[in-house]
Amino acid sequence: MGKNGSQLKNLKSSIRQANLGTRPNNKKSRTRSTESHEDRQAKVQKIQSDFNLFDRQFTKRKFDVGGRRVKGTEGKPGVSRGVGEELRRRTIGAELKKRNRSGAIIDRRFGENNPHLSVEEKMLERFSREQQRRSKRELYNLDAEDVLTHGNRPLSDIDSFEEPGFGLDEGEELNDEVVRRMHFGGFEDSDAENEKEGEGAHKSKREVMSEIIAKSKHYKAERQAEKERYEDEREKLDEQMEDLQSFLSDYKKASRKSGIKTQRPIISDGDARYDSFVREMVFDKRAHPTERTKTEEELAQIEADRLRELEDQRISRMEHYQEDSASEAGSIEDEQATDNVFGFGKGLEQENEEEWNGINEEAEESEDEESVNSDTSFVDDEQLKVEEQPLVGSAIKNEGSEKASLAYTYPCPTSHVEFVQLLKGLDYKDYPTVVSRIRTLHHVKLHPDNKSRLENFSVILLQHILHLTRQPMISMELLEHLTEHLHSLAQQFPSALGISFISVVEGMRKRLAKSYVYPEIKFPEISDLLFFNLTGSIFPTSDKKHIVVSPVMLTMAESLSQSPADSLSDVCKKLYIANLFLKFQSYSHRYVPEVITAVSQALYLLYPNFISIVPGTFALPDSLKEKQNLFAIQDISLDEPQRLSLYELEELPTGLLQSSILFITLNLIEMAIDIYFKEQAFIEIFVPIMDMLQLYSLKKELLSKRLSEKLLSTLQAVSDSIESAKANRKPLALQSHRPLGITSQVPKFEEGYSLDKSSHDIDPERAQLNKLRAQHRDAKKGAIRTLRKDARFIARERRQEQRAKDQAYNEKMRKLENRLQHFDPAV
Amino acid sequence: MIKDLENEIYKSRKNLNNILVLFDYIDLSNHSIDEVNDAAAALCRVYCYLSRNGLLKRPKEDDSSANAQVKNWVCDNYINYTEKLTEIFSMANVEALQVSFLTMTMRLCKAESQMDENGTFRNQFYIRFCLELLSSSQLSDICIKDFVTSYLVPYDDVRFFFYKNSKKVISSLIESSKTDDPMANLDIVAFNTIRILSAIPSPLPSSSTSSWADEPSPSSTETSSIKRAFQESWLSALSLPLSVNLYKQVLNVIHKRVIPFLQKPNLLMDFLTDAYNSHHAVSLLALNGLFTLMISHNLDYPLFYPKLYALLDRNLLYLKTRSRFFRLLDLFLSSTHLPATLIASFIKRLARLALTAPPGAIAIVIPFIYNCLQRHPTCMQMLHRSSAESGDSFDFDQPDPLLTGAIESSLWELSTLQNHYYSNIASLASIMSQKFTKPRYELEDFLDHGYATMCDAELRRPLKNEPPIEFEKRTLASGLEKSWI
Repeated sequence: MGKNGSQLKNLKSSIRQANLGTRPNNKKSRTRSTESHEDRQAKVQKIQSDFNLFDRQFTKRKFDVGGRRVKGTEGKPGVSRGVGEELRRRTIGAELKKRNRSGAIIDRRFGENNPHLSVEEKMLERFSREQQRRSKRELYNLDAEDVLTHGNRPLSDIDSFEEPGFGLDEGEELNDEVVRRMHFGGFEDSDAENEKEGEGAHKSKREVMSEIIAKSKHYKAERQAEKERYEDEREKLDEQMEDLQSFLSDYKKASRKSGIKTQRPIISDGDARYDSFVREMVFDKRAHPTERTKTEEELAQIEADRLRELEDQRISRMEHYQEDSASEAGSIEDEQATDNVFGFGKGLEQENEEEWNGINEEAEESEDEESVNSDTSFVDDEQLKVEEQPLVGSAIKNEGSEKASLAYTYPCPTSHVEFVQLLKGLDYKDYPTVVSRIRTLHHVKLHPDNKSRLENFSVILLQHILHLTRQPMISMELLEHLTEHLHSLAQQFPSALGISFISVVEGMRKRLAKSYVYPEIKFPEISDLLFFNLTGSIFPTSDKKHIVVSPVMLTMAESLSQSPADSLSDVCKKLYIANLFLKFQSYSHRYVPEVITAVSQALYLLYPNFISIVPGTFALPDSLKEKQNLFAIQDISLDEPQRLSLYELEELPTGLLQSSILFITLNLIEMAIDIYFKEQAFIEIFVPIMDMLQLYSLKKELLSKRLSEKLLSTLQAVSDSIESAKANRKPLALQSHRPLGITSQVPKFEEGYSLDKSSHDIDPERAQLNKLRAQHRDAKKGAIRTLRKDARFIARERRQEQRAKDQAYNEKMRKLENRLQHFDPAV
Repeated sequence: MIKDLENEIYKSRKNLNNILVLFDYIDLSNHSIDEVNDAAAALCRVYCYLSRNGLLKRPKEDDSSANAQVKNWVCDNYINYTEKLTEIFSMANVEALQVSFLTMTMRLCKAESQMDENGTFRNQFYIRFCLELLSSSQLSDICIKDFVTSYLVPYDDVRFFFYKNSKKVISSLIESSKTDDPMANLDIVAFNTIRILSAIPSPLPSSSTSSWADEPSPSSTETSSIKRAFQESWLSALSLPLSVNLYKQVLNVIHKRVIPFLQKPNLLMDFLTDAYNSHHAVSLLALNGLFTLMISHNLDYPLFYPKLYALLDRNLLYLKTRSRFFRLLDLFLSSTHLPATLIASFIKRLARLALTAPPGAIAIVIPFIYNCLQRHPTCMQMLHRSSAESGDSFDFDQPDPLLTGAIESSLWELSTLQNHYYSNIASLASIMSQKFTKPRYELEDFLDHGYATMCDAELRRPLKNEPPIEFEKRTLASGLEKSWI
C-alpha cells in the first residue's frame, strides 16, 4: 500500500476506516451493525485484495503514447483462476460424481419434499400445473373448433346423452318411407323433395320431354339472337369496307387520270404489266452475251494488271522468302500457263508455217503444186482439231527430195531414246516443228491421259536439250526455240521439271568433285555452261531462295573459283559463268564475290609484265602465278577482238583469244559497274580493278585500236563511278535501333502505410489467408490450454477423493483396534 | 646347318671357331635374307650365352693366360659383330631385316647391362647404334615406329640415353660435316631425328614404364635430369638445317610435346621467331608455339601482332588451313586488354578480304567480327557513326596494325555482304544490323562449311511447293550479246 509501518498496523487502520470493528460496549457500533452482510463481505474482500499485490498484474508498456486507449492492460489471475475452478467444479466435478453409479428414480413431483405444504395444497397445485400443460396442446383441443356434430350443437353443450328428442319417436313403426327419409337421406334433401312433391308426386314422360323441348327452344332462341347480332356487325363492317374500297378506287382514278372503271379493267391492267415483264426478260437473255465482249483497251488493261501482279510476286520473292504463299502463286501460274499454251502454240505454228513456205519456195517449180496441196492438208487438220474428232493424217513426201520430210502426226514419246528415233533423219532446224506438233496433238484438254504424257515429255525435252549441247556443233537458234517450248511446258508442269533440274545438278556436282581428283575429267563442259544459262531462262534468278536456282548458283560459284584454269579456253569458260552471274543479278543486284575475283584474275593473267605488287585482295595462288607466264600478252600487236563462240575456243589463235578475253573482261566490268554502283563497298570493290586497268593503259600500244579505245572508255567509266561513289559516301549507320531503357533503381513506396495495420501485404487474399492461419493457431493453443487445465482439475479431484477414502478407512481400522485392545479374553 | 653350328658352340668351348663360320653368313651379297637373319639371330643368342658365362668381359692387360686370350678373341669378334649388325640400317629395301636387327641390338644392350656390377644400362654399344640410326639415309618408317613403340616409350633408361646420345651424335656430326658435304648428311640427320623425337609423346616416366636393364639408372628417373637431356636433344635437333616439311612437322607438335617439358622454354624463342619470319605456311604453324611462350613463359615479342596482321593476306581465306588459323586468331585476339585500334585493324582487314572470299570463308569472318565487336564496344563506331564525315581513313598497306586508322573508318564491306547472292550468307550478315544481344557466337559452328556442304543442304531440301517459273520470256542470248555468239 505504500504506507510505512508493519502489516498489522496497516490492517488495523484499514479495518477502522471501513467501520468493520466489533465493540459490543459502544452504543454507536450497535446502530451500525445493522448493515447488510453482503456489503461487509465486499469490504473485507477489497481489503484482502489490496494487501495481496500478486493478485493483480499489469501489462508492461514500452512507450506511453498519449491519447491511446489500450484494452486489457490489467488482469486478475487469481480471480480468473477461481472462476475457472468454480466452473469446472460445476461441470466436470458433477460428471465425476456421477461416475460408477447406478441409476435411480427421482421423484420430481411438485412439493414432494416440501414439509411446509399440506397434502391438499400439493394436490391442488399439481392439478393446476397439469391443466396448464394440457392447455398448451392446442392441436388436439376439440373445444376450440366450431364443428357441429350432434344435432347442430357442439359437444360442450351436451351435458347428458339421456335427453329425449334425439332419435326416433316412440310408437312409430319402421316402413319404407321412414327408412328412405330417416336412414338414407339428408334433412335438406328431404325438404327439397317435399317441395317437389307439392307440385306432383312423380314426373311423367310427357313432362320430361316437354322440359327438354323447352330447353332446346331456349337455346335455339339464344343462338338466333347471337347470329343476328353477328350479322349486324358484319353488315356494318361491310359498309365500312365499301367506303374503304371506294376510297382506294378514288386514289387509283386520281393516279391514272382516267375515268371510272369497273373491277375487270384493273385485272386486264395487271396482265398487261405481266406481259411487259416477260418481254423484258427475253430482252435480258439476248443482251447477256454482249457483256463478255471486251475492247482492246480493256484486254490490255487486264494483261497489264496480270503482269503487275506477277512482278509484285517476283519482287516479294526477291526481298523475302515466302514459302507459305508459293502454293497460291503456283495456282495462279497454272491458270496463266493454260492461257499461254494457247497463244504460244498458235504463234509458233504461224512462224513455222512461214518458215516452211520459205524453205519450199527455194525448191523447184515442179514442187510448188505439192506444197500447195500440203497447205490444204494442214488446213484440214486444223478443222478436224476444232471439231475434236480423231485426227487422221498421212505423211506427204517429196518424191524428188533426198531428205525425209516432216510428218503431221507424231506419237508422244515415253523415253528419250524413243524421241531420238522420232527425230532420226530430220534436220536440226526441223526439231522445234516436231516438238510443236507433239504438243499440239497431245494438248491437255484433248485427252485425259495427255497431262501425264506431256509431263513426261517435258522431262524428255530437257534431256534432249542437254543431249544437243554435247554435240560438237549446235546452233544457238535451235536451242532458243527448244527453250521456248521447255519454258511453256515448265509453266504447265513446274514440279516435274524442277525435280529434273535438281537431278541434273546432282550429277553435275559428282562430276565436279571427281574433276578435282582426276585431271582427265573436265569441268565445266560446254553443256554445263549452257545448262546454267538454261536454268536462268526457265526459273527466276532474282528470288532470294529458290529450290533450283540456289544450288545451280552455288555450283556455278564453286566452278568459278575452284576449277583449274589450265588453258585460255578454261579462262573463257570462267568468264562465261561470270557473265551468266551478272545476267542473273540484273534485277536483284546481289553481290557475287566470285565474279569480281574471276575478272581480276583474268586481268592479272593477261598482263604483259610481271606485277610485283598486285592491287586488290583477290586470291592469287601459286598455280595462278605460274600460268601468268603462259597467258600473258606478248610483245606483238594483237588482233582485233571478236565475239566468241563456246564451240570454237580450241581452234582460235592465241593472240585473237587474248584480245577477245580482254574485251570480254572489259564488258563484264562495265556490267558490274551498272549492277553494283549502289553498293556501300563499291570503292573497295572497284579501286583494285581501276588500278589494274591503269597498268594496262601504260601498255596500250600492245593492244589493237578498238581494244585500246575500249580500255580507255572502261577506265573512264570506272574512274567516274568511283569519284561519284566517294562523293556520296557516308559513314555506316547499321545500328539504328530505338534506345534501350535503363533499368530503374528507385525504391518502391507503399501508399496508405499505417502503423496500426497488422499486415502490409499488397495481396489482400494472401493477407486474409495469413490472418485465418493466425486465428486458427491461436484457437488451437487456447484449446490445448483448456484441456490441460481440465486434466489438472480431474487429477486434483481424484487425489482429494482418494485421501478422504484413506482417512475414513484409517479411522475405521483405528476404532477396531481400540476395541480389540480393550477386549480381555481372560475375563 | 646354322642351327647345328650354334648347338655345337653350346656343347664345348672347343667349337668357338664356329662363330667365324656364322659370321660369314651375315653377308647379303652372298646369302639370302633368311640365312642372314638366322645367322645373326644365332650369333645374338651365342653372345648372350657367353656374356652370362663371363666370356664377354675383357680381362686385365697383365693377364696373359690362355683363358684371357680366348676372352680377348671373343670380345674382338663381338665388336665386329656389332658393327656388322648396325650396318643394316644403312642398307636399302631391307625393312623387315632392320626391324629384326633392331630387336637383336636391344637384346645385346640388355646383355651388356647384365655384365655390369651395378646392373644399370650400359651405353657403349647403344651410342654406336644411335649414331648409325640417325645417320642412315635408308631408315624405314616401320623401323622407327617399332623402335619408338617397343623401346622408347615403355622403357625409361632407353629413352633417357637416347636423348643424351642424340645430342652427342648431332654435335659430333656437325663438327665432322664442316669438312665434308654438309647439307646432304645434316639433312638426313635432321629428318631421322625429328621423326623419332616427334613420335615420343612424353619424356617423363609414367606408372606403366620400367627400365630395360635389370636395375634402373639413377639419372633416368629424375625429372630434372630427364628434362635437361630432353632439352639438349631438341635444341640440337633444331639447330640442324630443316626443310619446310620438317618445319611443319616440328611446329605441329611443339606446343604440346616440347614446350611443356623444357626446363628453359625461352631457348626456343630464336627458333620460333625464325620460323615465324620464314615461309607463310610455316609461320602459320609457328603461331601456337610462340603464343604459348608469350602467355606462359614471359616471352616479350613486340612483333607478334604486326606479324599476325601480315598473315591476313589475299590467299588466307582460300587455304585449307583457314579453320585452324581462325581458331588461333580467335585465341590471340580474345583478350579485352588489347588496344581497340589493333582490333579495329584486324576487323577492317578481314572485312576487306571477305569481299572476294568464298561463302565458306565469309561464314567464318562475320561471326568472328561479331565476337570482336562484342568484346570491344569501342569498335562499334565502325558499324554506326552519326557524324557526317566522308572519306576513308583506312590505309590497307600500312603494316603496323596500330597505325592503320581503321577505327575511324566504317565497315562498308559488311553492308555489301548483306546483299550476298547466297541467302544464308545474307541472313548471317544481317546480324550486324540487329541489336547485339547475343553475347558470343561459337566459332566452331561456322568453321567447316564450304561449297559442297552448302550445296548439299540446298539439294536436300524437300520440294514442298511448285517452284516458281520465270513469267517473262528471257532468251539464252540476253545479256551475252556483246561478248558471245
